[in-house]
Amino acid sequence: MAANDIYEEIMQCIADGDEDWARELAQKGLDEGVSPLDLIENGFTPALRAVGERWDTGSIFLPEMILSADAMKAAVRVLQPALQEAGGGAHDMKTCVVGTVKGDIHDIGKSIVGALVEASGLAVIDLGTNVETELFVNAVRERGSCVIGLSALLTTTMVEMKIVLDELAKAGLRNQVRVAVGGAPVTQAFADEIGADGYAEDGMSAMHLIQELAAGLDPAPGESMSKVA
Amino acid sequence: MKPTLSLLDREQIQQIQQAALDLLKNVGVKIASEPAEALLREAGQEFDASSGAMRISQDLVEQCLATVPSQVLLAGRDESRDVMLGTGKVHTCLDGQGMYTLDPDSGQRRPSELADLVAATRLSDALEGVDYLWPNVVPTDVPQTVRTYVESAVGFIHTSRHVQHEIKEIGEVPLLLEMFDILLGDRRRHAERPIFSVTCCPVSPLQHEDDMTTASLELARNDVPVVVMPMPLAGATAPVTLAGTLAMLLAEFLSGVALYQLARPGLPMILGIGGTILDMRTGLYSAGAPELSLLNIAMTEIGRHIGVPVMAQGLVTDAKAPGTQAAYEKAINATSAFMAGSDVINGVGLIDSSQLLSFEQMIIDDEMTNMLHRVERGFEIDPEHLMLDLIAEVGHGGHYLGQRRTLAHMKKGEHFQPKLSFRGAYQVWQDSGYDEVAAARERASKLLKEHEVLPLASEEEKALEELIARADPEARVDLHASCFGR
Ligand code: B12
Repeated sequence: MAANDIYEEIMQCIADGDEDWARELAQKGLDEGVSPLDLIENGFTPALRAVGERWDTGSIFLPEMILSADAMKAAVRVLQPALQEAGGGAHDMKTCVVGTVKGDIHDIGKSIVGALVEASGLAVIDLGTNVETELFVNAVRERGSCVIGLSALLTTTMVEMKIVLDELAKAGLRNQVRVAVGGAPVTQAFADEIGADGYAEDGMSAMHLIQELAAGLDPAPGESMSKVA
Repeated sequence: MKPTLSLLDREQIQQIQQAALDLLKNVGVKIASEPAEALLREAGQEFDASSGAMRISQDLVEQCLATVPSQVLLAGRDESRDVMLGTGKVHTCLDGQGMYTLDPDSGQRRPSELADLVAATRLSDALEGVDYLWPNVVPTDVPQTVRTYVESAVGFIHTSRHVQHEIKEIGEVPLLLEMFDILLGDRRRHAERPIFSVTCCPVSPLQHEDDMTTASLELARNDVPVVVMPMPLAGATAPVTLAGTLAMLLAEFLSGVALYQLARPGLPMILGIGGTILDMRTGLYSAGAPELSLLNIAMTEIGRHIGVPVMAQGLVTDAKAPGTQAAYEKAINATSAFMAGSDVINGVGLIDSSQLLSFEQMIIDDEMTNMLHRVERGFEIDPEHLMLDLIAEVGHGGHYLGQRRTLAHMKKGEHFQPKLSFRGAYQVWQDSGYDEVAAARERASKLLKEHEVLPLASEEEKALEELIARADPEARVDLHASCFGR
């Protein structure tokens, strides 16, 4: 089967948000000798981007976007071993660590951002809610260069974002990371004030922002999947 | 006479109730608060090791529901302003804890301050359409060490009505109880004069968190009425369907009933209806959605059925400024909750999905509330009000303007008198450049200048100040700051 056919199928399957089909197609591509990187870059990523554009223009609902994202994730999991074999380490899948800061248990905004970012092709580590500052710092120690997405919904916990930034600086890790902040009470002005690298007010712009920040992590952005909001 | 709006028949109410009971029995609730979980274990409830949840039996829920009073007194510092819920009358309160204020002078949004909370509290005290306080903005300029005490003290000083608030952790309980000593002479009097009630939210889906739950249980043991207010978001933290969301909301509330009634049997409780939808285009919380009205109406009926007063989010909106969207969203949500007979409707003064305080909106919401109270009051039908004799007397043609009885009934309030709406002629409107938001701002300013709050005895106020200083000697707070006319 020609690669083009499989790309068309991938386009359809991601649009349908069909996880099983996505896994099947990933495997089928590998079996037919298409490189895993090609499958991602010419297949799954453009397919998901198309879905994202439809959400951006208001023609689909968030659950469609999340289902498509989950299907993409499932495919990437199938491709991961081959990717690693093909070219060094965990490919250059960049990482985003998300979490709701200490003292704050608002969950869903952070989870939506995590899901969308993961769908955009980054590896996501979700530290959950009420996350101790130390855990963010440790994650950077373990993962190295990454984007951190901090969420806070309370005025009492917004200050924790500044503390995370300070602790990263103290640990000498600040220049390895890009820090994005968000959550209902957070503003661009607040983000600037605490020296965060970016702020976004909803899920879609958060995804674009974090893609951009991730691209900036790499001295040679090369095959960046980022699309500027 | 009473206008009523109903959605569910008896069978449908029972269907949802049974669904909630089944959820508690089969899926259970996860409880991060150890003392809370211990209460259920001691009551013989089963811990599900695979999910980490406590399953709650129908028997326990029914036993606990039986001890919840169907009427709840929310006492004011001024006894004449006491509120009794569960009587069929609708009440209105502010909305908890926005974090921004539309500055009345500059018109710009900025982080909220103590001066805003003081002004909003005093203004609320002047408004007829408000029945009690929920400190409606966070004083972000007050250190966190004393915030809860300052917010509560502002309530006790600047309004003589009841104060409903939130508590962050158990460490705050002792000083809060000391405040009751100051205000009531003895904290034990709080059982008969509950001047303070606490709101606590379960975490959808099906969880209770640790700090606030543990603290609220301790307050419950000290006779503080508790509002358990689940906030499931249909499609995100709850099923997308309203029936599923209702079942979950009720299950979460009933698990709260079990906890608090086990801690303090007979504790007055309120069912807070915090549910709405997640907007599936933006991925954000929506307060202006019509589905919120449906949840409010249905839950109000269920609350009445199980004999627990309810608080509905009614005067709520997603609009970012006082104006058209704020008006229609608030009006639809408040009217439906009013007609359904919700015991309390909250929301006065906040916009932007309960995040932004607008003093203008406080005045507009007061006007809406007063209009709704007029509708709620209905009218009388008897010979005096049918006025057949007068109709015969005036006969055909002519008018009623010159009749003494017309004037008499006007004075008795047969017709509502707006304080804000413009009812003049077109040309007058045009020439005056009348703008209701600007008029609302002026009225707020005037009320703040003229209104006198029943003063708290100066030694009591001093004691509150000392208590705050004791909590954090570094904290400097001016409990009389006001953001108006600075
Ligand atoms: C649902 C809700 C809850 C639920 C949360 C359930 C859950 N599983 O998450 C519960 C009931 C537990 C809850 C509890 C409380 N809440 Co609450 N809650 C809300 C509510 C109504 C909606 C929040 C929400 O889920 N929105 C939907 C999500 C999708 O939106 P979002 O979180 O903003 O996320 C989007 C963007 O902000 C952005 N984003 C989010 N994170 C990030 C991160 C990055 C890096 C980026 C780039 C972008 C980004 O993208 C997201 C997707 O579009 C808000 C009101 C509001 N208007 O926001 C109040 C609100 C946040 N809560 C508030 C309060 C006061 C509380 C409580 C203190 C109340 C109490 N006494 O119980 C507790 C605090 C508990 C704690 N310690 O954290 C206040 C905060 C005010 C303040 N002073 O700071 C608010 C504003 C309501 C109010 N006016 O009272 N709450």
